[in-house]
Amino acid sequence: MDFSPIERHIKRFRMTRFLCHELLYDFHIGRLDDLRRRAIEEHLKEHHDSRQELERLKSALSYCELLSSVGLENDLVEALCESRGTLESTLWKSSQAVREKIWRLMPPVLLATALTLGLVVVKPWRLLRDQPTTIAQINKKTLNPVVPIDVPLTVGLRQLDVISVVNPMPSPMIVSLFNPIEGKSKSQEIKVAQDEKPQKPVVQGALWRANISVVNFSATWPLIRDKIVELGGHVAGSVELGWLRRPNQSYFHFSLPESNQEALREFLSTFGPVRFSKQIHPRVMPEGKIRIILTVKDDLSNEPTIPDSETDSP
Amino acid sequence: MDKKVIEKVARFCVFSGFDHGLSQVISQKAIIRLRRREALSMQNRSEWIKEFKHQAQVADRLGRKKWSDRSESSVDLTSWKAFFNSVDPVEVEAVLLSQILGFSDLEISDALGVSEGTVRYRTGHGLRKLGGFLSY
Repeated sequence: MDFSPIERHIKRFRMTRFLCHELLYDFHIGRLDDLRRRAIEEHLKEHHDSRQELERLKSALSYCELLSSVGLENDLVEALCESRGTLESTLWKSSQAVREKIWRLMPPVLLATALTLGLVVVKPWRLLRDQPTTIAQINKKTLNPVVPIDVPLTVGLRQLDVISVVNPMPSPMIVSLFNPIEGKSKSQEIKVAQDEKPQKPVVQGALWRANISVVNFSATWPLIRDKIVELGGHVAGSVELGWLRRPNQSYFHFSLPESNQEALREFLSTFGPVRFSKQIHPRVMPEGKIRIILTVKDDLSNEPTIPDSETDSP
Repeated sequence: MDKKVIEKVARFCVFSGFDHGLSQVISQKAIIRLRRREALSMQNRSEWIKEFKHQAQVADRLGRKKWSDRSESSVDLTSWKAFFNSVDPVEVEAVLLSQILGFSDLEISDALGVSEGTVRYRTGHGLRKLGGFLSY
């Protein structure tokens, strides 16, 4: 037999149940080509379940047609028709209200923002902290040797410890305060203006040494001792006045009023030439008093005098 | 012109299960947005579909209220509700847009970004499943 190409294709094309069901909708709405349409028609004639499937499809379509013709709630449609402009106007009004609020709140918000930014950038509390603050001005004339300032110093917002200013101080006196909380130098400087330069007191001790050689040693040294006592002299060393260091040498270590030094010199010169010499000494005597070490030795003896430095203050 | 859109969107809301209040809000929003885009004309029906879908998604995110007691007593919606709640949403959507709202396959395919064949496939599948609910 001789078949045309279409007939050969139809004979090769085998419609299955699955394919038929998948193509039912297109078959129903007429979207299939002739070959597939004829194949489905052949298939439907032979298969009952496929015909039932087509019936279901048709009933569904009828149901959808019914649903599409359902009258909607009139109030819904009418509300939608009537309120077309209402919602827009409501939205516009609400947006207008929001805009008005924004414009009303804009100045204070901008002001607050500017203030905050200014505070953050400038940090005025730092300027206050770095500025030197004159807390106390001390007049040197009326200043006691030790002047405690028992005033809690408030710098910025911090309470600092009490400081003491001790006299004498170099002029101008600058006291650096350290922040006890942060532990780093927040150099708060206190300038103490002083009217005069401080007078440095002469704190220097002195010792007078004297030597005399006498002819009658045994009779003279007690006279000298008595004269010293008479002039207000007091024993200063650890030995008594006129201690006989050797049989022909006596030792006097005493303090004497400075005003009587000349009288003592004159008294000693009656026994022979006397020589006074002043030496610097660490011991400071009270004002108006001097300390003397006097060595009296026998003039007949030829023994050398023991150096005073070796016999200082027995 | 606006009335056709209103009817379409109202029907879409009804058969998507929104209650009366939500339907009203969605419809109003859809119409306003379409008007702003100047898409209320018949040449822009695929834009309508996009807008309906967008509003339905918004309502879903908000937690939409499904199937409140409506008074459409002329038709029994039991089968449709069962179909809506159990079948793939893309097939429900295809049936709704194609067979109930009357959009063409081309319009639907433009709006959903799929081919016309896919639209027909989804519609056919959906209809067969809907027919199954009707036969019981």
